[in-house]
Amino acid sequence: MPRRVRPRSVTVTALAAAGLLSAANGALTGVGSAAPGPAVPPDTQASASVSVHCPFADPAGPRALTVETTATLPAQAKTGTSATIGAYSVKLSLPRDVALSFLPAGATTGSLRGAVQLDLAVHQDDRSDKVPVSLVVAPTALPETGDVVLTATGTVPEIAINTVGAVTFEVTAPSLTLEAVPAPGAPAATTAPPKVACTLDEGQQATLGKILVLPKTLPGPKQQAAAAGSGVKTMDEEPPPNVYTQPLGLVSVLTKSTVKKLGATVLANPSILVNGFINVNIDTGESWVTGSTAFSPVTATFLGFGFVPVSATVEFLPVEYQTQRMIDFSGNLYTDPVTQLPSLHADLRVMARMSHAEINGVPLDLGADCVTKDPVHLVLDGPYEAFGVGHVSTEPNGGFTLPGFKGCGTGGQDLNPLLDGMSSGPGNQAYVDTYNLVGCTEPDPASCPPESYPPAPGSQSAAAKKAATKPR
Amino acid sequence: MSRLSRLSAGIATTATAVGAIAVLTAGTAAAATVTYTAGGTTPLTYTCSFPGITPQPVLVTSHLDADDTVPAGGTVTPVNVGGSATISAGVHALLTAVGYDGIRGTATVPVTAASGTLSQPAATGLNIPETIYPAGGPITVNISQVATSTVPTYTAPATAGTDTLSMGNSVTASLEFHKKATNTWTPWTMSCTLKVTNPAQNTAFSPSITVS
Repeated sequence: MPRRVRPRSVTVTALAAAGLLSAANGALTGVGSAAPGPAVPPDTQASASVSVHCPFADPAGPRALTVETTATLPAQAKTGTSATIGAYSVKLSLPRDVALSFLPAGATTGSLRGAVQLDLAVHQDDRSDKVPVSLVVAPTALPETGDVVLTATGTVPEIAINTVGAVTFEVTAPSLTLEAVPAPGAPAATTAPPKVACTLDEGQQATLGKILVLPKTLPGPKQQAAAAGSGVKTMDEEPPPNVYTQPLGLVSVLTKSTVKKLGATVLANPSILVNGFINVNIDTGESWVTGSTAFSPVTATFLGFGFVPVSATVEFLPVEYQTQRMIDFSGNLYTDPVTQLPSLHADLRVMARMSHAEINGVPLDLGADCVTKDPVHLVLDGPYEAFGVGHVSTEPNGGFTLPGFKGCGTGGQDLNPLLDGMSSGPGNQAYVDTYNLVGCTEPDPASCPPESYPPAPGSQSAAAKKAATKPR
Repeated sequence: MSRLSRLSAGIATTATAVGAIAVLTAGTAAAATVTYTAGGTTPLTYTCSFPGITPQPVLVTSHLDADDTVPAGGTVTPVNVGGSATISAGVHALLTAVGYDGIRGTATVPVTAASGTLSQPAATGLNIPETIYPAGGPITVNISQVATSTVPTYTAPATAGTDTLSMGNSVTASLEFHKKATNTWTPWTMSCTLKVTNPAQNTAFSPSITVS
């Protein structure tokens, strides 16, 4: 019977009854085979090796054992269905003297049998739950010499996970219930064999594997776009007195963003600043630049939740992206009080839109309007170089926060939580390199100096390195 | 007929008379050195390239010292070739805003002759001395001939009369701008093009050269 899910626990339902297991298996198979489009990725092999201490009865006493667990995990599952952890097996090597202690006194040959019980810990974000697993140790004859290798196998209850995101499975310390296999015709034991509750040694990795849970069909609530101002000066505003305004030369812009949660780097293609102007108040020296730009979509690849290969197309759009194509830009020029370098401070807001996602190579339709709920607020600072390349970036210790997403999914699927879980959060960084290009009027472009060409795609790395090491 | 052509024709007529007088007095008077100027009263406006911004107007004057009279077929090499370039307060403020406060380098100033010939099309290597400018106001950059400069030699036409030297349309300068924060110099090749106006700017050096 499905368990009631605790509010702060993973939505896990262990279907322990055999009848339900088979029904769930059928449902899961049906999802994979009946669904149109790409197939579900194949299962993955998972394993974990942990050291435990087991308090055997005297004279064996407490002993250290190594427990090796193997299983097959689905690469991903969908909410509303069940995930099967298959071929679950636990192997442990029992020291010979410990094995002999389970045999009748004085016996040097025989066989052991029993059971291994453990909890499979399930984690998702800050929530967790446990799935009890019972395994059987088939009768195993003691070898003539050496330790006894026992293998326990069994079926893990079907696991229904209804929360989108990555689910992590960890092994826990087993409890061993071992006994000698009675000789044929011998009377059955009158007392239950002792249960030895082992404890997991601290400070070790107990992760067995992970499953990415994707949404199946959930109605997505209609989100409202957050209104946000861009703070951009417009040409309609009355210019301050005695301001000298001149068009900027050709400025190419390269951006690089790193998203902490994804461990991903998004390198944009070079773009051009259009309608760029530099303004200076001749009386006060106050100066600022304005302009507009647009970035072409780029495809980024990364590991979702740190282990799921994901690729997706990422676009940076203006806040009013539904009616506007260009991202307005405004930044103040100032002298850095520490380095004395001419510097640029910009307060920029953009929307991030994702599309054409593939998870494990399987296309995932994010829909046409999978964008951040709120604008991405970028506060950029750094040297501005009129003669070449300037590097502005977000504050290294703060970065920017990637808001949650809205509108992600099609056909009633709500993929917003998936993207939120994978990518949204603070601590991300943005690097913007501004290339002031040298004008060239040569009829033959080949005669123009290199400084007149926009940077080639791929040159971001060097620029970004400079940006990363630039004085602040 | 353009204004320049009409001006040249008038000068030629006058020069013929002056030349006749010169023949009569040949051997009795040595040529005097005079200063020829272009843009002396109304500076010439060139449009010059600057880093990071679109080309900006720069006001240019130029001068050279040479004999007031050159024998027909004779040669003279001007001296004290130089001039000035004035950058507006606005452009200066922009340079200040992006962290630059000084200029140095050399200039190449093209010169043409209406009738005679020049050994090379431009005076090259004219010095722009290293100067740090305080913020505010326009900048006047001095250009002067130094030992390393190369100045074209003028050869007068074979017949007596007058000739006119003029500034060329394209002035270039190999400059370095001083970055205040780092006390370093950043190279910049400045290209200046004579601004097209109506009526056209008068690029001629004044006075005309007398060819005797």
